[in-house]
Amino acid sequence: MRVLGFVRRSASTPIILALLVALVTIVANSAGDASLRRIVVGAVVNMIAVIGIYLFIGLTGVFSFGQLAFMAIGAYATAIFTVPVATKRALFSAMPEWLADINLPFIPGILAGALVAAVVAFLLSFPMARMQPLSAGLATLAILVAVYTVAGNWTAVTNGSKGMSAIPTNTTMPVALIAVILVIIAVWIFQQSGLGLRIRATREDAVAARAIGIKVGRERGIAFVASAFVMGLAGGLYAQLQGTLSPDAFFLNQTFLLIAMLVVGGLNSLTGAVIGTILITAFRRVLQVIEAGVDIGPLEIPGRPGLTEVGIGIALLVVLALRSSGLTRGTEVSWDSLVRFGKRLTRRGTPSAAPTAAADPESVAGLAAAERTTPETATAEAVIEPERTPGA
Amino acid sequence: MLAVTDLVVRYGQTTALHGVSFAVNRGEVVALVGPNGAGKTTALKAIVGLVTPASGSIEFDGATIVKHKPENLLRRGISLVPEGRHIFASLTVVENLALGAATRADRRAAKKDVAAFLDRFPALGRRRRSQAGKLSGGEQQQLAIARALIAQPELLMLDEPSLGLAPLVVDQIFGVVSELRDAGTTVLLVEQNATRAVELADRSYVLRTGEIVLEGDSQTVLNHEDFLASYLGVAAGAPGAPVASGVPAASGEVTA
Amino acid sequence: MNGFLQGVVDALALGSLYAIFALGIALIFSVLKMINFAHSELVTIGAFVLILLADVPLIIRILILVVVVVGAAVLMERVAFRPVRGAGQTTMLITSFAVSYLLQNAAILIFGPDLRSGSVWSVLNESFMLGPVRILNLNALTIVLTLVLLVALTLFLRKTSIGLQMRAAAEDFTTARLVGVKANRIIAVAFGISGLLAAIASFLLTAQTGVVTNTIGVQVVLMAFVATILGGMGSLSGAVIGAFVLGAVSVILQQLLPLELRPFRDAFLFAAVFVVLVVRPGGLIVTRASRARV
Repeated sequence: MRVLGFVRRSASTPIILALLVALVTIVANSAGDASLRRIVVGAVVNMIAVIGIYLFIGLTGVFSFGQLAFMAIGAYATAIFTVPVATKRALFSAMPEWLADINLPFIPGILAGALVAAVVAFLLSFPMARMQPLSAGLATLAILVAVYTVAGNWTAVTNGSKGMSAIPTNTTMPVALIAVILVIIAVWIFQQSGLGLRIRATREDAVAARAIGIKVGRERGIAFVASAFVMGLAGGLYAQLQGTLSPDAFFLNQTFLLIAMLVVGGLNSLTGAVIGTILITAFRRVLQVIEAGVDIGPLEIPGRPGLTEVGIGIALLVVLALRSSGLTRGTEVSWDSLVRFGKRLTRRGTPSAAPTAAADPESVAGLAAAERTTPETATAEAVIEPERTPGA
Repeated sequence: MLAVTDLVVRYGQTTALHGVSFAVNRGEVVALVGPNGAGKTTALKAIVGLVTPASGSIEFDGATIVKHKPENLLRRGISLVPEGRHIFASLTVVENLALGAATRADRRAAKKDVAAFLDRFPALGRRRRSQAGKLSGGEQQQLAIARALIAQPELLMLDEPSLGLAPLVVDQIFGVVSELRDAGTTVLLVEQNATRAVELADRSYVLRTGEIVLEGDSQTVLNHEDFLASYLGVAAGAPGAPVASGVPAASGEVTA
Repeated sequence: MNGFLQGVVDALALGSLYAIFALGIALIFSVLKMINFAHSELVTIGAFVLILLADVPLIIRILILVVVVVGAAVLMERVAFRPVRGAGQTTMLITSFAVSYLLQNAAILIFGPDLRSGSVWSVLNESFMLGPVRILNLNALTIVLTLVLLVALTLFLRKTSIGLQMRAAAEDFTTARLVGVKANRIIAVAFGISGLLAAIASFLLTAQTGVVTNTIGVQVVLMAFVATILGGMGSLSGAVIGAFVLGAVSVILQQLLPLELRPFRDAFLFAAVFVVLVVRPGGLIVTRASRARV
């Protein structure tokens, strides 16, 4: 019983999230054809990246545009480590000897790639710690552009704009699924630990955190490095999924997509990262089908490139305007919150509502509302709040 | 003129004001005093529309002003001098005053008034071209009050005008307020420096932890045994010596 | 010596172009504390107007350009930014990122992904000699326009009532409202001006490239971000100084870097910015408003 109590109190979140991800992945995987299966694995890799972004932005509250730079580093490093030596000699003749001679198996290759990303982040974390949050956010943009430029031009190592190819493809569905579940568990432990608590304290109130002896810059730096490691991991898996790499895969468009996932789910919770990825991936798939052109009976809608991206942009803007803290409003799903939510549903007597929390946005909203401690009446001053006409 | 009824304001879960009522009549100086955290500033912010009350009504000249925007309330005649002065440090003294006059319909008269205020507050007149951030604390407070007055408000609200100023400068500021009183300006004065504020005011309200605990004309409030108790947290019936000693000293200086 | 003078002119022209971009971003930041990513899309909209209407007489085209871009800027504020104004810096930042992405892809949706080309004003591509230095008309126009804009903007901020209100709002928005500054109007005016700057920027940029794509604004706006950070967020003069420093450094790097390193110029630039931020976290010019936010 004591174990069950512990699970309910402290470990239900990662278990629920892991089950949810496994369920969605397996269902989607078995329902579709080969191309859909590939999309599903890609989505799982994306989820790892979104969790990686969450690990920094969500826990520290400091915004970053640059986390994909570490995904790029992890991807390229993994590619270099895992392409067979002979292939490297043949395809990338300009690569330095010592680099071409490295050859690692799949998993060590990915971990080594993630480690490279973490080391780069570690070096960058010292100057980052000196900056104000807003400057730091823009500095990360500088990192992104710098890495993009280097990846596109450093022909000797990255093969420049032509990109890498002939990367072994070992990222299968089970591999990706196990990876994401491990990441969810690890991140949960990290954020519940004393260290994670200190990092979250700096998010809530940096001045107060400093006053109780928390080294704000240092804690943010740790989150930055941890985030880079997870991003690197996602990058390595991505390289091993695609088999080819080009710098464009890690630039502003992809950054936007992943940030949209995180923001829609809710910047400040792991649950938000997971749910946001699922929702946006599904939404994006629907848009892509429409973009390719659909026939509804006699009505024929021609394909329009750009439609998917416009749809996602609008969706994100709507969420930002109506619910800027995301669907989860910064709360984590837990056994208790599910139970409370279930009770509310039965009391309301709406059997038509979806039974699982993550299946549709409305239920997540209800869940979050049940969990939320701050009442709706909160009316702290909004300095330049828009129009408030009487009776509006 | 101003009637606040059953005002409730919450910040998240904490309730800052639990149903507070008070009123200011035309031509009156009313003091709203109380210890730190009593909710004085919150009440002012609610009046000018910087926070939205959870319930209760705020009426100005008989019309409700809840949910109005601060910039429009100024146009209706309510001007707040915020706590901590908040002059625009990078703008010059004249520019600060010109901002105060920017809402007035009659540009030429407003311009004349800027000049008149520079005469009325000689300290400001001497430094009219300096950046306001370079003024002393007392000069900044004078500038903040002048900036509010130049908009010709019907009701002037002062939030802690003496906060953080040296005693001599506090005397000056209270001198300005008493001049305003003598000129018939309607003033709502919020102060931690309770005794002096109450002495200066026609009527007073004592606010404590979000509730009005005492109200009445100033003599009554000053002599009430709860006054010190609610303000300093001293038990009722404690020696009233601080009041007695405070009265002559303060009243002597006000006219100076 | 001539090479040096030529370099100076090039640096001034590039810095001027960056400055016009950077001013638009810094102006919005100063009143709203928001970095407007979508400034690049205002420029893109302008570029589409110029290229798609290449047959329309120049004067009319410029009029349409200004009306459309200023209108787009004001509309953008009204539709996308006003609803999130009270929601915090991060939300506003993400919103501007989202607007930028949305408009970039809307351009693909409407005009297709292909590059379009057209001539803006062929006179600008000719050049004249000033002593020993050959100056492109476009560069001369860029430098002159920037000077005019700087003077005009300074006069506007110093001498007009609305300019004064804007400066007050930039320093302390709450207090500005307490003295009667209308928040919505000031912000709308700021967006209108930034739209005007974007329109001018798109004219100069398109005259130079002669083509338009859905991301034409992005590259230069990234540089303008760097300029505003370099100069110190929220300071208009800082943004201008940052822009000229950036223009100069770009030209110097282009001249001095060995051939094989030139493709990495931007990486060096961004690394340099990173270093500046480490040494002076507030940028070259630290404003009171940005200091208060530490």
